[in-house]
Amino acid sequence: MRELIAITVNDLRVFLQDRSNWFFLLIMPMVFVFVIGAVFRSSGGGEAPRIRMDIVDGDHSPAADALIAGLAAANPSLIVCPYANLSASEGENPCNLDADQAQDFTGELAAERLKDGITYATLTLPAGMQAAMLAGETTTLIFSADPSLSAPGIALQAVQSVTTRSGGALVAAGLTTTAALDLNLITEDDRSAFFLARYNEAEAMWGPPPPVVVRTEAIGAVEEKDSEAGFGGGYSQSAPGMAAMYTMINVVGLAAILVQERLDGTLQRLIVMPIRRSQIIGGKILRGCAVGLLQMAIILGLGALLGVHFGSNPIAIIALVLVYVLTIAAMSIFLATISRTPDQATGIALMASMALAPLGGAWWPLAVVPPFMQTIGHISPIAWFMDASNTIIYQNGGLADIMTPLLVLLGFAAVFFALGIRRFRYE
Amino acid sequence: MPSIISVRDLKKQYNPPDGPIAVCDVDLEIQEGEIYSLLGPNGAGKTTTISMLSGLLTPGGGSITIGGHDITTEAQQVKRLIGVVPQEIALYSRLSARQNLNFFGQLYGLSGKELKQAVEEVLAMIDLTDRANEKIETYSGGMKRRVNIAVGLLHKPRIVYMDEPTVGVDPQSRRRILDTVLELKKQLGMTVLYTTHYMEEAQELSDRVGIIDHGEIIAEGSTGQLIQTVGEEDQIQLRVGEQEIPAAIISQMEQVEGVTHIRQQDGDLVVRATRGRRALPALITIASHSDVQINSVTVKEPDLEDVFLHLTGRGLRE
Repeated sequence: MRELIAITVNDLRVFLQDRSNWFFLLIMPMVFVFVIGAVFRSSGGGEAPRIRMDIVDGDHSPAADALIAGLAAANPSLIVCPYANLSASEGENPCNLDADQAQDFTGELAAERLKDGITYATLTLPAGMQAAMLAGETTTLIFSADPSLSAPGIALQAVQSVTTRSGGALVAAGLTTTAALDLNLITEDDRSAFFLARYNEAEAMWGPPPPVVVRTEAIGAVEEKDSEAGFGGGYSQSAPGMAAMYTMINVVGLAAILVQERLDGTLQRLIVMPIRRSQIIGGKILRGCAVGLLQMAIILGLGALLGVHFGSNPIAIIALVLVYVLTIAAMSIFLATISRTPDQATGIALMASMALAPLGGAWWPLAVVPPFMQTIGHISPIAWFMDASNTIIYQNGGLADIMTPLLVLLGFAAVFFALGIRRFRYE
Repeated sequence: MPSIISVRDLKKQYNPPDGPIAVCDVDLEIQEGEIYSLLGPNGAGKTTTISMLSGLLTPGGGSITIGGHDITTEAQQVKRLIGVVPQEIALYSRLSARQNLNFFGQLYGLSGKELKQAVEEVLAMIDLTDRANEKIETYSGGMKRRVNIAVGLLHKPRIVYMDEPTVGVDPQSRRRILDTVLELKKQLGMTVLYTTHYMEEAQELSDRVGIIDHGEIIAEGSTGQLIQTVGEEDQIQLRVGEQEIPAAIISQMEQVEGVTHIRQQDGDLVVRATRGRRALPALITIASHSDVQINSVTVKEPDLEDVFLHLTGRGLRE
């Protein structure tokens, strides 16, 4: 163990003696945390995202009005158009519609807005909806959205929540009406009026405070009103993203030092000393982990100073950092086995990091890219790191919540270690 | 007395079965306190042999016993006995000499006062105490070589392997390195296995020399014993430049007492003769009577270069 630590400490000393390494360890990541964080701040990335959804009301019935009101109340992130404009203060235009458009809103206009990306989703309430409801028939609401985006999922959840609630009220009204008929309290002629009255009563019972509330939140949506204070604005993206990327650049880049050691003969010198090969390779892995932890501490520490809240479960973030750093250290050992020169190792390390970082969501959230790119992105360990850090930051996730990304990262580490240690050559 | 290094039928082939054979059936017996040189041209198999003896390379066949320990089964015990000075400058150039020595000393199991004392001793031995805190990258080639040697001596090993330790150094540093090797034997009683392609080094340092070529030891013994294998002929070089020397004159010279062989090579008449200095006046007389102008004369006693030439038909540096 003493020898292993001696190798690690010596290698760290060699690494830190090189001033250019400090540039990549300290200066560059900080600049990028600020720049990317600022970009996300100015584009609203740090505020609760607002999801615009158009409603095309073909029924214009009390039931349709109740459903629309329910949607508006279901999630504060949801802007229900064009109705949000009708209730907006003067000068505000949350639906991005002029007054005439808001008054005479059509299905064609909604389709055009969806196509142009002005809205995330459109919900069409068909004519005869209330009548069908009263008749106990199935009513189909049409939900349209771009499947490549994740935001409509939030709107769909709100719609499902409200329709489930309506469904509950319908069942209650239906049962009451049937019972009233069986007991001869009403006649068949009174059936519709009685049913509608019971339906409205049942709906009203869900009114504030409702008996059960399920709140749907978008990633980045708020638990606190002051979202910037809660999530560190755009830094919630840039701090973990840059920590993942620069850890990869700096730790995988250590492969160049290892290749240089092989060329200089210091690795061979270690072999002829009275220490085991496992101590040598262990020292090199530990050196990679130490550099990675230093890099993580610098950037995540900066993130914390800028207001990023890494959840209330420190075990989760510590486990994530340790597992990620171990994975990247394994990649470094593997790279050293396939590189012939230090320049080659540096080139591959930079190229791989620059490709895997945006692919894995270090530069922007993976949620903004199409699903197939999200899938491809998960070939990058950074994607799994970002998944876990998003869970910790935005959902206050604990160790159990990030177990899948942790296990996948450990899988990456096992594969790279197996390949790297098997192929490793000292001479 | 049992040998401290005993090697039997040592073999090594790179990338078998079609790769080059680097070492072939090498036998070595080296006594404790002896300086043994492996002399041979580049690519002869010297470094491969040392690499196998130090545990860096796995032998392709044969056995190696160091200090009574088999290197394949008791590698750690062997490594505690040996100090290795590799051909490369195997140091961390961004660290100082002292930092390098401290690090390698720790890996040899030294610590605390013992480590500090060992570092100061080797620094004094290589005469770099004053500059010990400067980074290796600021040192001259000779200074780096000396630190490279010091690392191998930190733990006072019983056996030191030195693989061409004077390659690329200035004459002053080279002299200092050779003196250090002699001190290791004289003052510390260390056994030294020294590889070189400089015959003067092997001749000056060694108790015994093994001449290696194409992976095989082709001759072994003390310098005197090896020179005897080529006889006691001197080599006389008569510098004649571009002049064409008629065959009749060369034939006349061959009749001089003691002369055994004459050839014209690179502007020289190279004459082999027993007791060369006695034959020299007669050779000069023949040349002057034949209007052959001699620009300079060199008489050289036989050395290991001649032994190698005699055994292989090539020079050591060809």
